[in-house]
Amino acid sequence: MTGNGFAQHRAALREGRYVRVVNYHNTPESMADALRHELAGYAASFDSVTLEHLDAFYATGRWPLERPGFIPVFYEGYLNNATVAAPICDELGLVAWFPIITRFLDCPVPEQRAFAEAHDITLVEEELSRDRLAMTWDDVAEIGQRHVVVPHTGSHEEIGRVRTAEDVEREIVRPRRDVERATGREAPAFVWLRGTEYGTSPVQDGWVRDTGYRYQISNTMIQRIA
Amino acid sequence: MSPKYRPHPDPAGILAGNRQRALEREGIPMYLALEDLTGSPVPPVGDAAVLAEGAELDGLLGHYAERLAPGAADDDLAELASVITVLARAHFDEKEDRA
Repeated sequence: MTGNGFAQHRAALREGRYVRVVNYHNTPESMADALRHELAGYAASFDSVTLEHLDAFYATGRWPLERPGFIPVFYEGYLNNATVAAPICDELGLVAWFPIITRFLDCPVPEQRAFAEAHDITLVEEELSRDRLAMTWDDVAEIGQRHVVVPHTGSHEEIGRVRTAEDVEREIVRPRRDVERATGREAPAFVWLRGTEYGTSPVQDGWVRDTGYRYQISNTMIQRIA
Repeated sequence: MSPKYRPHPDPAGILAGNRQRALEREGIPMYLALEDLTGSPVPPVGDAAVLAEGAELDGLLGHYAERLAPGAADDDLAELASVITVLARAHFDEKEDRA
């Protein structure tokens, strides 16, 4: 166990080991103006954090930034993250992080709604009638040129349900390979469904680490694991 | 060092508001801790502004935890996450206090 909890989080704050994030899920076109306004507010106060910035902080204890760091995070791999959120971030000069459910992208378009409903991927009312709900791998390739794309498992899977070699390949290993193939860059971090932290299960922890991920992102922490 | 961030007078109201938000389409501000599990700890942070803000946030997190989750176990990460969302909603962007 890693001793995660209130005391550890308070110590991290006190010692300056923290970063601001804002977690988003759906970013439908109907919310574009509100999202732009909100992100512009953050961009006026903070510098967005790249992988290189995060690595530098872990290496030196210093942020190579002029202002406090901030990470806008867009979860799941929704098409609206590619068509709405990413362009707004580009417009504002923000680097965002995109944890994507890789099999959602692989899913044939006519089956994406059923896949979402079966895998705890929340859809918004105004998009239910759309054919495509997930971003494409071409979108990932494009986003990955300016932003950080990481796997959020293959199927939006819970840690406790990944038990077999086949599960590991589908939920942990292949997602990393697919993201890296699409972006041509390292997929440095892994995120479980429900943001389960590293330290919960040594077996699954080992699989995540052995796959080559260097960070695990949880609900309350970013953990450097390798 | 005098506190710059004043505790919000109604953290329970913020928590209730957070729970009513449409989280599938709204941003959720958080402060994530940066932990190292590799055996190579993060070198001590020396930036005085970061340390000052972190000390304020530490105190505020304790303040809100006492009010919102008084019986929570230290390792109750669900309660911790809830309290962090209140901390972040109240203090994420205190521009007036940033030099």
